[in-house]
Amino acid sequence: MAALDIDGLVKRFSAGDGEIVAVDDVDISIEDGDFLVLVGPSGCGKSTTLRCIAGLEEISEGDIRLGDTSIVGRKPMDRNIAMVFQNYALYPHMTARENMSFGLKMGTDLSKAEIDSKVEDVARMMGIEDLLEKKPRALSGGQQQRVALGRAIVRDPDVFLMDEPLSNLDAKLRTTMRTELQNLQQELGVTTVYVTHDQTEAMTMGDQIAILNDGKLQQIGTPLECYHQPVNQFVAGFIGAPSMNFFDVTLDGDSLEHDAFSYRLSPETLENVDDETTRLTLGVRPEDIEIVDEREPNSFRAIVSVTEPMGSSTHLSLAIGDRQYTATVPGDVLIAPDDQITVTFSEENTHLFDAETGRAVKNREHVRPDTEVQV
Amino acid sequence: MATETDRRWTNVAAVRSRASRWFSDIQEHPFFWILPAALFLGVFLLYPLVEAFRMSVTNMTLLDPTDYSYVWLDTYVRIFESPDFWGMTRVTLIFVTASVVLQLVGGMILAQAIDYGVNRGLHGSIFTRISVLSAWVIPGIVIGIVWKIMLIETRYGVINYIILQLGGDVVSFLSDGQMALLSTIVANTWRGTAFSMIMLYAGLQQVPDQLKDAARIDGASPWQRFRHVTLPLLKPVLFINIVLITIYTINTFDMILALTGGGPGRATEVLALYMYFEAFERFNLGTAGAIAVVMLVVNVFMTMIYIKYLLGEDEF
Amino acid sequence: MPCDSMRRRSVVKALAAGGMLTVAGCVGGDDEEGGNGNGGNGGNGGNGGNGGNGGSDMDPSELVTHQQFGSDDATPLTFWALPGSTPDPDENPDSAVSSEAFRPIYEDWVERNPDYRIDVQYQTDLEQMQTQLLQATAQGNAPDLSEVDSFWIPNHWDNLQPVTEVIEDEDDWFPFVRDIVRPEDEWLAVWRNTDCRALYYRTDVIDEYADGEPPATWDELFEVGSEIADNEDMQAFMYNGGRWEATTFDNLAYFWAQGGELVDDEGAPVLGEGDNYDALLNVFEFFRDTIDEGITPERVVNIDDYILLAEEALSDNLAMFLGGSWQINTDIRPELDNADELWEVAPIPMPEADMAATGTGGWTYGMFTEDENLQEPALDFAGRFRDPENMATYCEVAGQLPTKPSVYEESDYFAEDKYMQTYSDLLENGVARPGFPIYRTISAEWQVAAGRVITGDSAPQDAVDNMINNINSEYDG
Repeated sequence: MAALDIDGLVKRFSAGDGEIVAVDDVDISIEDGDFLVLVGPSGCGKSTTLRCIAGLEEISEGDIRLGDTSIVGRKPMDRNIAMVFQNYALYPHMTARENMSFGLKMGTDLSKAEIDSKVEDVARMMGIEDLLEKKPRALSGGQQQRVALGRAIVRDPDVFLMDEPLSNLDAKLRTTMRTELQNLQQELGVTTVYVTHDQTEAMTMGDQIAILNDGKLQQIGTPLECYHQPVNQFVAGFIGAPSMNFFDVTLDGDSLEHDAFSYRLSPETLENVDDETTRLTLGVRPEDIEIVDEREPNSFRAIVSVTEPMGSSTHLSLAIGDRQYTATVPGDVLIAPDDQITVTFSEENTHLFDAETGRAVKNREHVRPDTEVQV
Repeated sequence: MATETDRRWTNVAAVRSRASRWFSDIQEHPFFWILPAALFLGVFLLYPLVEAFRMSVTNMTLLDPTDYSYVWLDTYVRIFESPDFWGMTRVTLIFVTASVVLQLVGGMILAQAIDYGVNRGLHGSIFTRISVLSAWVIPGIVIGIVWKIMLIETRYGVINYIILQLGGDVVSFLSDGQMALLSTIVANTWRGTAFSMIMLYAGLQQVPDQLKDAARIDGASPWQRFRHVTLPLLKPVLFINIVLITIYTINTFDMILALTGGGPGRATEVLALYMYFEAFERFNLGTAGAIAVVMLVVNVFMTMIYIKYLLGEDEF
Repeated sequence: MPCDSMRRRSVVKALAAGGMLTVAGCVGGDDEEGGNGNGGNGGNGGNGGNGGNGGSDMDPSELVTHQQFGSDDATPLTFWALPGSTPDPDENPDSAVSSEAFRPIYEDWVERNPDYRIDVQYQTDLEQMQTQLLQATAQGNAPDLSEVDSFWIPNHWDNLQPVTEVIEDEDDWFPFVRDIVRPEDEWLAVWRNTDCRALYYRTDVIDEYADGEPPATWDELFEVGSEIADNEDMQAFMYNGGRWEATTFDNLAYFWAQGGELVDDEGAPVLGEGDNYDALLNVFEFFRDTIDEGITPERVVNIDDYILLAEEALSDNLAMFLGGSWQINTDIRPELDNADELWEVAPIPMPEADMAATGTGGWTYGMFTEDENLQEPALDFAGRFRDPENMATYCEVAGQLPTKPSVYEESDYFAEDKYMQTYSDLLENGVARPGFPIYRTISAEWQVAAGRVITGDSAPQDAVDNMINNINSEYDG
């Protein structure tokens, strides 16, 4: 068990005549026993980062340290890591037992009896002791997932690497396994890097989440930091479901002018805005949009086009100007499509981004995010 | 008037429903759907097969195929009593076994090399594929002639020239019985490896990269990854590949015809070549038919053995 | 030219691979070599696409085309021919044969027979032609007239119609011709051209080691051969030893010279009986001795084309070889300026000095039609090639040997060329192969046995016994 430090990691692939930079100068530190989620849209470089840690890809620049020692250049086996793959990657011609013991057979000098007892211990822990003699084909998705996890655990590694391990499961099982995985990780206390494209998994599972886009690290922090204090518009839009609403506005004096409304800002907020910046993006989380009386200041009209009742809450699709936005209102508010409503949002809940660079100008609280990354 | 119209309508309806029932019978009965394929197979595969059987129990000759009589198993008895037949069977066995093993190993090495090259975007993998493939598409006769020229046993032969330059002696590639068989095997391997390469390369594409990654993480060496992960997953492809190249090699004669003509003596005369000679050089359709039947039995037998040993374990 | 022969053989083989399933690479291949470049020219088959030759009042030169000799409104005769026998130089790689030999002869026939015409069906594939001719005659639909390989004649003794009336001087034919085409009283074919086998030797080498006297017996051959092998950087003696017809055909001379017979009058194999067996064993022991004495390299088991012998000879690697009569003109003279000085031909060395034989082949014209109206023009056609001048012209252009002794005296070329004069002598002892079906098995088994003996795989006696067993078993079975 050890801390994992990724330092200035760069990974380039040659493609045709040119090069593709898949991972671009990424720094991440994970403390011993922490659960880090690498999240981002597909092609953002998160899987490549994981494969670099695993030793499946050679890195182009930078350093990866486990504890105090660099593991760059070591074979995967010698890094003492275990990996769980998206499609489980169970060997189809081997039984669950053979799958789980394969790593021990190949990589250690343990006797068959020792291997068997280790495998059985882990199988018991994972609740799959009855499945050991079955081949993957005969197992359900969840059972295969458990075998795949067992295969990783039995190796007793310093670090778990998980590459979208839950994406092949159905929604309900995914939720269960999510919890189970977290419990397991806490129980074992093994440093874990978990890759997913699903921000819900990221939010719910990670001690820390690292958001990548285009090979660059956007932000690293706790889930709530990333949620409330996104460093830029990308993070703001990526984290949270339904995702944040963005209004293209211009700053005119002390008010933000949108095609459909004007929004007057307080002097405190204005202080943070660069004098020269007039084109801004106003970000509002759906749950921060309130239905109000039309006399309320800073309020404006919207037409409800679609309602999605979720029970405890209802998602509304609102036509504001010529675009659609989302609002989340309590489930007991009865609204039908085509209703005209008046909405607003309180200034303290808004985010402001520089329309050019996407960098956060103002976040939900008047605290500058302390983890800032060059964008 | 009304009744007549009614009756006519009834008749029309009856006819129509009978027609539609007839039609749906045709649609639903598998026989009609199988018929075209069955006819095709019957005419082009089954009939010649049956004819070969029939010929094998006659003394038919190509000189006058209409004038023959049934000799039943006499031809078989004569073949089996001939020591030369068993000699040729032995030659065939060695030729086929060695060719199949070498083609498989060679094909596997090439497939792995190309897989490696493609994965790393190396140049030349296409060139390799094309050049190996070209050996496969060249007619066997031409390959036989090319190798024959290369193996000429004077200082003017391509390979012997090289051997002489390297300080060796002229090698009797074709005039020594064992060397001739070896040369034939090498030429046939050179020719057939491409097929195995294509099959196995396609098979390798079916092995998920994740499994190889998983095995790397599990600490398996390249050989162990191949032995424990790739190879078991290639089994179905291997099976088809082995069956096809075995049958193909057993039936090969064109290349040998051009390379050695079966000689020296009968050192390289495989059963297929013997059959060819009997049929088209000595015009003995009866004998040729009997050899064909023996070869058919051997082919079927080999396939069954492979099924038993390669696919014997349950498929995953 | 050497390449040409090589290619010809290769093309034949390629056709076999092409699924035509008809060509054997070997049997009859010698005829193909000996022929006028007939084999494997390819592409001329069938009788379709003939534009027609117009009315009978046209000039004969216009009436003779690739597909048809004579006018459209004349009575047709069907004629099977080799592609090399076309009158159209454009259709023949060896165009001089068409323009100088065949065309004038065909035109002559058209002029003499204005009421008839010949429709030609070219047979591109020698093996197929043989089978088809046999099948066609068995089924009663043979062509009216055909070029027939002399080797096939015995198979057709019952079908061929007498051509005696155009034979003329019955004594002016070599004996082997009479043996084959006159089984009883009637002549059954007009033998247009032949070839033979002879000992080719390097005059300079023989001058040095044998005072210019080529070996006439096996003993002399071994004696001079050993001298050469010991003192020269070349092979002493080579012959066809591969898996092909010539291995049998060429070397049968030794067997025949001892009085050996392969088959009896019925076509049953007798080569294993009595004196025949001893003669046969002698031949195979001779093979073994050539290797053991070091006068012949083992690699003769790969020699499956005459051109390979010529290539060894031309590269100064060989002092003597048993070759075909045509090779001086096709393989040696075109390659060497001093061919006539350097290479000579002589009778094949034999077990005893008083023995002589050489295998002969060649092509004939045979008449199959029983229709008396058609027989007259058909006979006239065949008779064109009996004419000594026509025969001489054709044989000279095509590199073949005339079948009538008189031609070697009367034709300038044949009378003056020293090689042709030697061949003329050799042909007095010419022997043709017995064209019975079992000969094919005999030949195949001979080749196998020769290979086994030459490589030392079998002792001569074992090889011969095995060969006889296989032949008898095939014949009885």
